[in-house]
Amino acid sequence: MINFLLENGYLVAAQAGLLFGLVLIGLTLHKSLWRSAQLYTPEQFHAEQLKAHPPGPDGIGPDLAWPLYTLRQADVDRTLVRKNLRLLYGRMWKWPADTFYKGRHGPRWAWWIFLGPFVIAVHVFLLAAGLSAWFSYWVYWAVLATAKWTDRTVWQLVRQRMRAAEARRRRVNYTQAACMECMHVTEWPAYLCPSCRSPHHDVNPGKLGTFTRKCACGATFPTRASKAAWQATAQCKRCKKEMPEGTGAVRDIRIPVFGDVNAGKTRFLYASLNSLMAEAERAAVPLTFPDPAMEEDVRRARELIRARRSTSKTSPGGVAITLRLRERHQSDLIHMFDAAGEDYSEAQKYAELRFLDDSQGLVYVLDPFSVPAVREQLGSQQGEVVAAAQAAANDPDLAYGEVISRLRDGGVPVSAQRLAVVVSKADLLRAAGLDVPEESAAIQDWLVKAGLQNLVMAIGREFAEVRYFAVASQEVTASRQDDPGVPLRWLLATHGVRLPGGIPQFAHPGP
Amino acid sequence: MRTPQFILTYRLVTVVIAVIIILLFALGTAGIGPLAGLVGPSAPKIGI
Repeated sequence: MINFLLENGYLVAAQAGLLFGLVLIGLTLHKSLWRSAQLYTPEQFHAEQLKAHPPGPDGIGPDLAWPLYTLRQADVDRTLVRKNLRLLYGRMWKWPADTFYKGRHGPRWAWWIFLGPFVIAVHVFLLAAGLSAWFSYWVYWAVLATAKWTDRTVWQLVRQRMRAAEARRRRVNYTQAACMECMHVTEWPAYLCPSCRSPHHDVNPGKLGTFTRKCACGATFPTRASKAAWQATAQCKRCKKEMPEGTGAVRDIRIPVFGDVNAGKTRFLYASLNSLMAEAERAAVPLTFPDPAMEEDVRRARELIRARRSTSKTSPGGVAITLRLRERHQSDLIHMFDAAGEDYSEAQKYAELRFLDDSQGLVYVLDPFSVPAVREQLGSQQGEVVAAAQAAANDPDLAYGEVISRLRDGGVPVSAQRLAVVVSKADLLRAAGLDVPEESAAIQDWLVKAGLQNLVMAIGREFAEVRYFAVASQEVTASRQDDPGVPLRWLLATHGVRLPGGIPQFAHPGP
Repeated sequence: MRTPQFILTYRLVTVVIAVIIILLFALGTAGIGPLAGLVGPSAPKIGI
């Protein structure tokens, strides 16, 4: 044994050094990544992002969550491993350096002359240990560098594809988020952390996670609005009001109803809703209201419609109804708006008509009794019929013009929208002996003959698609003459809503 | 602050990969494994 050591001493020292180097890197990794590890916290990353991307005019800054490991934490770990390895290896050299070079443990020459082979063996051992430990560190460094490179290339591409798929889903399925409180419409809402309720304004795949995001509180939820919407509560980015479950993931259709004072907008809104709900009940398709108070209002209005009693006039501020057709992932959120007719003519109430700016289809309710030519046809019974119909007082051109001006001022691309022109009170017209056509083209001709050629021309020029309907805002069997649900069903079907009982064959083809 | 699980997992995975590579090199120097041809006794000699 002694002979072996004497003959191969340096080789043994080198091999022992190599093995000890592995022990060194093991101790370093244990200390740096486990026992005394340092964390790059969400708060640090948030502060960094806040500096790089200050909040915009909406006051929304970066979200507070754990960043990807490879983004910052990997660098922290790597730096700490290098620092600790340098310290540990430096400590190993302390005694030999003090002894062999600084003479703190006896004269240096005595060590080198009388114990020369031992001194050299110690040097060989330490150098081999250093070689082995630092080689191991550089392997660890290379693994981390590869992980970082993969994250910046392959995973970045995956995240881009996921974001693109989400954008395509939003465009095709109309899944923007509409707040019924402030009428603000965004591509996706903020989502509240399921644990600490702090808002996350952008849950798309990115620096805070590819498939899942870890909130600063430790709770995990999926990235992408289509997934997060089912595990976290949606919140309006502007007014901070909570939104219905699935907001940002399900189809979201917004249909405003506009027209002159007393044109029959509210009546039409509830009657069309009544028709849709009756159809849903027949087809056993769930139709619910996220807001219980709203459900109660609709129930009362349906009772009035069925009893053929008058609905009350819309109070200033208007009516906004949100309903959910079907359940959970299969559901569609449908919003209908009705502002008081006066709101359209008062400039200062433009803010209350914000819902017009982000609609997917519009309903223009036209009171036929407000058309002078129709009134003339009534002859002697004009006064009596007009009073019974509670006819709108203004020219139909006026309400239409005000809304179109508002849309133009807001930069809304009207030419991409669909318009349903609803000639209301068709039952009263027929009762007065005036015949109203049923088909869209015929209704259009009828309006032109009634002297509204300018209005009809303007409508045809400004909208992408227009259909004309004559309705009686009463309890009318679906798919029968004057059914008030037909215009609503047309607008919903054109936006991909699967209607109860299937997509109807509309009896009113376009002009 | 408690270290999140995903950070611990990442650390473990990177260390395990590094250990495997180091072991492959160590075995390779002894003439065993896929790196034997690169760093083992039978590796092509480079030098003058």
